Amino acid sequence: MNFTKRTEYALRALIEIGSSEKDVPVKRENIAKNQEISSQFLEQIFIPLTKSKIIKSVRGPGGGFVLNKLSDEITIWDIFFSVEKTTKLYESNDYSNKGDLQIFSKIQSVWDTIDSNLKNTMEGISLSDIIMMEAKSSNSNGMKSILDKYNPLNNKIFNIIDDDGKVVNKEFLGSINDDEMLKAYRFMLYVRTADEMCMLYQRQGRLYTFPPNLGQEAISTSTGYVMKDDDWLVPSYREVAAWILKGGSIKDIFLLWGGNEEGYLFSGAKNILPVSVPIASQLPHATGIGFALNYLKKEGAVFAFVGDGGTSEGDFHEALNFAGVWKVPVVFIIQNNQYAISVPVSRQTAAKNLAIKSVAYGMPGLRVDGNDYLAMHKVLSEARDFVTNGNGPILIEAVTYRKGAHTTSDDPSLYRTDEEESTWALKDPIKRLRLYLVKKKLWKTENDKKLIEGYKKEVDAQFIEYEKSPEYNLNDVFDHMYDDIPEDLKKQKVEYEKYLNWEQVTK
Amino acid sequence: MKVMNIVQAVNDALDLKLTDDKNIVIYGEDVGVEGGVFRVTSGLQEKHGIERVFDSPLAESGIVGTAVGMCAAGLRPVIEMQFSGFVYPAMNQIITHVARMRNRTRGKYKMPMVIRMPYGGNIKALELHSESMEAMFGHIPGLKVVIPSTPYDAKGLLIASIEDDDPVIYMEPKKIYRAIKQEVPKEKYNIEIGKARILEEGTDLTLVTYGAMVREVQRALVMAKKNNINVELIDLRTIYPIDKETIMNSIKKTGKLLIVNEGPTSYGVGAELIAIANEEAFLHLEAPPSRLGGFDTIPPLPKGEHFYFHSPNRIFYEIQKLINY
Repeated sequence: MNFTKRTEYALRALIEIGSSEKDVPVKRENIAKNQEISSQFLEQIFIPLTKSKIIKSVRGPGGGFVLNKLSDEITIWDIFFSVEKTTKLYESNDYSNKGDLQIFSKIQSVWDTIDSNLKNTMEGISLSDIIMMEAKSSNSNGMKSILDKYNPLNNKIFNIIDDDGKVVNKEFLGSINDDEMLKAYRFMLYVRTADEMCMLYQRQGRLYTFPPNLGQEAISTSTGYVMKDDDWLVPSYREVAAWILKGGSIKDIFLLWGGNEEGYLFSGAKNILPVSVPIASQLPHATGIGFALNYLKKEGAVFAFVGDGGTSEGDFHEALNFAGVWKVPVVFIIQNNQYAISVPVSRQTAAKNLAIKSVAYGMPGLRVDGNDYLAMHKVLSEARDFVTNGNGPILIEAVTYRKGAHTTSDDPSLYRTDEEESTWALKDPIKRLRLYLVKKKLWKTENDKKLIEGYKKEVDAQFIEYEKSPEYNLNDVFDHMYDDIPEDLKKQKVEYEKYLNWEQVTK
Repeated sequence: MKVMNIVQAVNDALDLKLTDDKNIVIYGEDVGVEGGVFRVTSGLQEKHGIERVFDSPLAESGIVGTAVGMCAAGLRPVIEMQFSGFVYPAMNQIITHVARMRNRTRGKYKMPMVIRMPYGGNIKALELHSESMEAMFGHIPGLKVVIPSTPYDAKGLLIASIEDDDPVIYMEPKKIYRAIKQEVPKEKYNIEIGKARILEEGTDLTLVTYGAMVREVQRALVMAKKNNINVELIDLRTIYPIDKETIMNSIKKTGKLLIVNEGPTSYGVGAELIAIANEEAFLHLEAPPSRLGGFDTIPPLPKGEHFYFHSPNRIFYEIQKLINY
């Protein structure tokens, strides 16, 4: 290839000149300084560019360089040809003295084809195209800039909208479009409806112990929408939105809390581990999956969940420590909902926040307003880019509030006050996104009611369908313990069947 | 054929399987550069690369927990616990995930991992380096537990363990790591998990043992032979799933059962074997099925360990007792 630094430097200088206000000359010294290119070298490049009439100099005070043509009339090919002084992208070898001329002439025609294709491509891209291009990783509002501005060591928290749905951090707005926002809003409403229905079914004795998601919908909904097909989800147990968006069904949720292992496997979804009951024990699995993705050179990120209480567990430490050392593509998400059953965060750690723990594992950490859908979506999409670009893992502390009980067997009135609950009610994630959408004239509050009615009917229809599921079979107890059931285990089943027969006969 | 000790046989099995299957990775504390504190993984990193054989951070739960994730994503990790006495921080991962993942996902995620660990005592070691806790693993549904006693078995059983789609706890008798040398085939071969082996045929008494105790029992049998006692010796080789059939058939033949092992007696492997004798061969019994396990105490530090670990003489004493019942 004949591309040298000359082409690259010429492009950088021309992008700067072309991006300046119309007809305002740009000083060579300023370009040299901004681009960290030596002024002498730039001068050498500017001579051919001037000769080729790509730029011209403007003399006098306020002078400098301006484009000599419109930016859409200058192609990369023009620039390359001007500064490299060749029309050949590949330097052809002299094959005339070689033995088998036939073979070499074939190779030469391959080079020629590549050359002409490259030339066509280069002629198709203008300087104006390049100037208009979206920066691949935007430095002004990307992960790096978020991390710089919201260092958890300073206890900063990242948000985009306030409690009234007003944009307070415009510069980071824009990771999703209006349709996606509406979709997310509707889905959060759906999840909340399903959650409330599950509580109802539990009280009716149609489901067993159930941990509600109430108030935390923005975190797992944004995760669900940010995840790509190849990504892995490693759940804790309060991320129902993400499970469904990953490909699980509402029926899986009923099966799970209805007391059937079938609900653990999310049969229609790929790359999702089962809900994990032993606190934080799932995090090393995420690290292991991340290792496997790297080892097998596969695409994808891992999204792993834990609660605030889980950060006190040894496995939290071990998982993040291994992840840092192995540089795995894992986004660790702490849903800090303020309580581990009844124990507040202040009883879990003396650290000023949870994101700060990332420092010890050599990975970045960030506190995010977990009730701000826009902030969560922005951060998680940036985090996904970050980890899949070989930067290693990241720790996100999503600050939220569990509006409901820990599970249906818990009584929050024993450990928190009405005053606290009403303060947090103002920060409800669905309310906040609704106010934002209403302000943007994308939604009307009165639409909610009809939508919720529809969801209720839908959830109930599926619950009735779920209740028709086949009964738990004796084989289900034994069949999945091992690849081949050991003889002894088979015998235990056979003995039980004999008992069943006896019971049948003696009835 | 090549003459190998157990360390070399395990190393050879790992080497062959690493060559065989690119999805196998080996990691643990000091297993990479150093080749393990017993040098079991010696030379493997050099040969197969640091991506496949490597030192992990020093954290047993992290080692086992990450292996769970690797299995879910398609790898077959063979991990090492430096000593069985250090496995306890990983017990949560072993019990709550390794042993259960297949069942709770109805077979969607299998856990084809091997957790290797040296076990057993009478080696004048530090505290927690002498335990024999195989019964604890045998009590966890979802695991397989394997203990070889010879280089030949060590290789064949490890290959079978690695190829097994279920998690296997592979316990290596460290006292005899280098004590026995044997001709071992150079190529790959499997020994079926769950099958005991009759080492010596006999008619007077069935003696079941495994691991490092096999050698001590064989010494005791020299004394027994001199006293015209004809013992059938069975090497159990797998703690779970246990080979009921071989044991049952032997008891039917001899009418007497003695189990010799190192672990604490109560709720031990001996108790399980006595239950088998009662359930499967009750009418053939001529004496109470008996066990010689370790005391239900902490294994003493080196100055006192001669009280705890069975000498051939002690084993012979128990054989005689049972013969004269």
